[in-house]
Amino acid sequence: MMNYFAIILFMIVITIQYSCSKTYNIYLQTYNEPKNTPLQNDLKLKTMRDTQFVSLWYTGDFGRKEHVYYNLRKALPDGNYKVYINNVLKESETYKNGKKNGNGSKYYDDGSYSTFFYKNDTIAGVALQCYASGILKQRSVFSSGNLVLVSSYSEQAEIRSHTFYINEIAVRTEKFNDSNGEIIIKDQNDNKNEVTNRESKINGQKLYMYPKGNFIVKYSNNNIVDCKWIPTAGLKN
Amino acid sequence: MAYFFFTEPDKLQEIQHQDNAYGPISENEYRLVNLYSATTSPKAFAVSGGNLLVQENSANADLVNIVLKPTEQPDLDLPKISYIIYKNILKSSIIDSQGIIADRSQNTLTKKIWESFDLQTAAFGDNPDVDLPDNPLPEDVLGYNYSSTGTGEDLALDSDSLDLAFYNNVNTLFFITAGDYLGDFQADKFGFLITTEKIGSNLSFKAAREAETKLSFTALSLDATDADKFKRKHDKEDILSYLDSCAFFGSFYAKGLNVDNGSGSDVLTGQDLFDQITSKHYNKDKVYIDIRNEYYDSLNYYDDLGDNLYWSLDNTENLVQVNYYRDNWPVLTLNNSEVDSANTDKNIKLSFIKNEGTTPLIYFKRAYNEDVGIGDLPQGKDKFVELADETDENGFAILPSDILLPSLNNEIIANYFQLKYFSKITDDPDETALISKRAYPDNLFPIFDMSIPFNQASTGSYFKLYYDSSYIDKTLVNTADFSVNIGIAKDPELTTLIAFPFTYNNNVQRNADNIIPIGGMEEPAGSLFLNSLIQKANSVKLVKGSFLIDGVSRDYLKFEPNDDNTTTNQIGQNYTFDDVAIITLTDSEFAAIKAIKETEFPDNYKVYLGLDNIVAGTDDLGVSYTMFKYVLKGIKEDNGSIVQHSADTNIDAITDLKIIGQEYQRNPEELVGFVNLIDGKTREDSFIEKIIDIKTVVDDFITQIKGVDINQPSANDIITSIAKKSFTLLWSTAKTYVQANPSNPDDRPLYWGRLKMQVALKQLPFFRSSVIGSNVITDSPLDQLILISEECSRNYLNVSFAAAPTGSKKILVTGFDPFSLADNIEQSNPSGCCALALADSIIADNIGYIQTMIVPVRYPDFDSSKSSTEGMGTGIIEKYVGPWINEVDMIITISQSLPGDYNIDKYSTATRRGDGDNLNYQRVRLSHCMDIGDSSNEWIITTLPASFIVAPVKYNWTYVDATGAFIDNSDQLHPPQEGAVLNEGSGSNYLSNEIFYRVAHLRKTARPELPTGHFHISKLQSSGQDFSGTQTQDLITKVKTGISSGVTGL
Repeated sequence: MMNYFAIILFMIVITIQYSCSKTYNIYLQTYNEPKNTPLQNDLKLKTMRDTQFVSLWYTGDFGRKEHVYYNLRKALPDGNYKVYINNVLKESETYKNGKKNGNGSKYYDDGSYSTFFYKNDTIAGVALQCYASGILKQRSVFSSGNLVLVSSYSEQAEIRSHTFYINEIAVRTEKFNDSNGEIIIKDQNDNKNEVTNRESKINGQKLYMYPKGNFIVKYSNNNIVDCKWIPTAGLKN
Repeated sequence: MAYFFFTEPDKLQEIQHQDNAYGPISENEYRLVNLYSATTSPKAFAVSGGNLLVQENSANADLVNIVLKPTEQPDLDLPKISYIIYKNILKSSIIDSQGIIADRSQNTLTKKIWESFDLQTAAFGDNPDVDLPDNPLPEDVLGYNYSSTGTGEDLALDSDSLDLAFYNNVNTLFFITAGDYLGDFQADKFGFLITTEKIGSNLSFKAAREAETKLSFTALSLDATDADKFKRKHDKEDILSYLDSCAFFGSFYAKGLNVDNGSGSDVLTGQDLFDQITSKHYNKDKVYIDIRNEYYDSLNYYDDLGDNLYWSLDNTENLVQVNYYRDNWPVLTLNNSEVDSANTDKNIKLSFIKNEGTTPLIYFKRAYNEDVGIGDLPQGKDKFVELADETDENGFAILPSDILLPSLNNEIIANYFQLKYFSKITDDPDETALISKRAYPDNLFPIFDMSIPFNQASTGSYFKLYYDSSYIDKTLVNTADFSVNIGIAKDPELTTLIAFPFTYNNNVQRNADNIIPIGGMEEPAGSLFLNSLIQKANSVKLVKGSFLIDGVSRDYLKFEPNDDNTTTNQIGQNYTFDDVAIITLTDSEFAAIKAIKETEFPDNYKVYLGLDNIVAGTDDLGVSYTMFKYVLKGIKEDNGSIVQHSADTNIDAITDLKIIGQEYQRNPEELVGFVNLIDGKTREDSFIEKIIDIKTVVDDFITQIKGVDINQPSANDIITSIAKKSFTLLWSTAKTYVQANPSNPDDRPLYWGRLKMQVALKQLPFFRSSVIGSNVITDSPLDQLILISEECSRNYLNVSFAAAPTGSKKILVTGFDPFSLADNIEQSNPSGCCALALADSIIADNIGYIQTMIVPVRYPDFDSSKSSTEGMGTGIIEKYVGPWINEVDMIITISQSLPGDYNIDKYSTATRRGDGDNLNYQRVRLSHCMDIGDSSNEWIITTLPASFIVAPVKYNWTYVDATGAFIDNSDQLHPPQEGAVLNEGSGSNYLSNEIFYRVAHLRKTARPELPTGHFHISKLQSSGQDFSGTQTQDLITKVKTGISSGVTGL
């Protein structure tokens, strides 16, 4: 009996280990054979079977293809997926339970890259984007899959701006002037209902209140070390 | 105006001898005066009011001649009488032996002069500063000082123009009134001479001095060249400045002539006039049929109309050839003996040469015709009679209206008729002709023969007008054609040439320009002619306009309505100046042109200011212009022949006026379905016929507008009313059909039907003035009507949520026209199909109510720039969608994307790619579509609810940043930066992005929370593929499902 359970457990472990460690390498290649201008470069998969993992998308207008891009499909087998274009790594994602779950990263043509975390196909927590040098370029905070804050940094690792988002609309930007360290704050969104009308402090944290919700922000010097988005149902202004 | 017979008829010899009669004496000699003999010295009467010049008779010092310049013209439609000369007056009846004005008892003239002298003496006799003579002197009041041997201002050579005396500001000639007794003729051989105005002809002092006036030539040698013969022909045209006084007085046949009766005067007409006046002339039964060409020369002066015409004098249809020049002189006369006695109507049937490709019409300057009847002269439009369409084997076409000859007792009586042979402007003039016109201002002004008679000071403004002297055909320009007055003005800055209507043939726009209150003008120092002109007209002002052509600014002058005019001009007319043609030349330009003329052309012949290189176009801002170059055109001798000649002036001009006329030419959008034929039909028609009710709307509309009498004052209102009704019906018919036939929701019949109906409007002759080439002139009446047609057929103005169920969400949906039709003429636009199918529809459970409109794929509609290459601004979206921002619950713009797409685009951008639209217009690549205000409006995100996103509908998160990098932000790691330029939004950067952006911009400004966005839907037809009703029906279902789902998120 023990042996039986041991065998079962072993098989499960083996299976889990196997499935979690499975890496799928997907290769795409650009080619310059536009079938329909103004599409300049098309993409194709090196291996046709990879179409089960990747879908190619075109954008265009009035019936004309203009750009092509790929997406990893949803509900893929668990494992680690690495996508290469012209043999250069472009993306790495982790799928668990048929969904994006875990760390992921993307690599861009200029050498910069980003790391992020998905939970049940929803981006969550903090995503980081770095210059090719490895210095932080951008820090994005998500809440319930929605972008809340983007902090941008220079290549000298100096803070440049914080931008707050509500429903993908930037509602507040704090810009840091290069030369004198001046902070320029702009409630730049003309969306009248989203312009903050109150600003307060709670326990040393700043509170930016909007009709749809409030940002609770903790600063350290000019850096934001914590930012929470509380919809209006949670805190009334 | 009352005119008088010039002498006492009772004293005239019963029959004037042929040798005394006006007319041809031989091939080389023509008598230009009627000579008379009387029993005793008859009195000379002023035939009209006017100024008098008295000159010594060069043949007899005891005789003088009197020159009368009439200030009144007889109401007979005659050419303008310029001078009348009384020949062989007894000097003693005006000037006594002492050289002073004869006793006041002599006649009315001497009486009035003495009375005037008395008044002058009474007023100034005691004034030491006024040097009055002891007696009135003929040199002071009658210009008797002018002589060929005089000195200083008294010198007037025989060759000098009489204008020298009559336009002298210092010595004003004495004025008399009609009927005044002027003096006494000698009994034997006294004369009466009448001259008429003709550009280039000036009556000289010689005629005022000689006892008899003839035009005489020596016979041409046998080896005379064609050029010599033409020169002779040209010189003989001088007789066209004279009138036979017999015909002149006979022309009063119906209106009446004042004739002395010994104690006063009687007004004689008809038989009485004939018995007492006309019958005493040798030419008593001669009618002059003076036919001029368009340039006021004789009919065939330029050898283009032939010497012959055909006529019938027996009231039959058998026309026989007659040589217009049969008397060897350039005027046709007809004697009673030639008219068949059986022709009791005394009508003449005429046919004229009708050169291939021409449309001639005969202008009844002065002649009775059967349309109006004998006694009344044709007026206005009745003066113009177009030759029949058909020509005989000789190329002659009948004049449809017979000429009627005045007659008594079945015999014709003396009269003077003048006809003019005008030709309509043709696109393809005969370039080999000695002179031809390409455009209406072309060859209009014989610039160096138009002389200003005033004694000009360098600082004054002077203007000479020649009445009814030419013809302008603007039929292809603005449907008008008319005879014109032309004039020339000189002022300290400019030489101005002006032409304006005298008699309209067609004037559907009802311009009042034919009664502009100007005649000859002499304005004080410092005046400018154009200022004087607009002061008199008062309804227009002169403004400087500017074109931008290839980035270079070009100024021009134009007339605009004077909205500031607070005073009414003297006869209260609002002159539009639409039919007033004005050319201005600076002094240096005129001098340069004159130098070219003197170098390039002989002195003899007229030289016209012509136009060449006429180009109509639109400037960088879409404003229509016409550019051309001035040339001099005329004739010259070349190896013994006369040939056409032109010379460049190197003077360019530009105007906002339409110069060259042509029918409206279909623009590229209208053309693409017109040139493609299928089964002998245009594709346009074949698409329209796909919905028979649409075809009916289109056909009925075209029938109705073509049936409108454009000459009625309310024509524009009637056409507008028809258009409003028909274009509205077009939309409703298309909508009704699509909704009644869900498996065939075809948007194309609406699209092609609209185009065909609009083309029909644009090609209406009524709107000729509103089009240049394939452009409709901005703010023109047609432009207004096209706007109405768009508003009605695209449902811009009939959106209404009045029928929305209570509590339902109000949803405004837009679609687009078909496009890329050059690639696939079968192309539908599924978004337009959706707009038709979803119009007035209710979403399940009454949660939403949809209203729709369809917009064109044309930049000018979006940015209001008519430029084909650039533009930025607001347009139809702001105008027609804008008002709904605060009225609806959601706005969804729809357009065609890639096959299989059902995308809600995330980002719209203000940036345009600028690719060609349905008009083949483009916009500057990566330019802004409008003024976006601050940079925060570089891009705007959709506010459509996420509830749309139910398969197959998905978000399109992509965009292209300013570096050109294509970014997919579906991971939200790369949202576009605030203020960042996006080269492309999620739906690219063509008009589907633009409508998305424009609505978003409106929303962001006025009502940020309003859900608006773009639904980019599947393309269904690949190249060459036909429309599929069932596929489109399926697409519409998907779209409606998407919208229904979207509404749940509101």
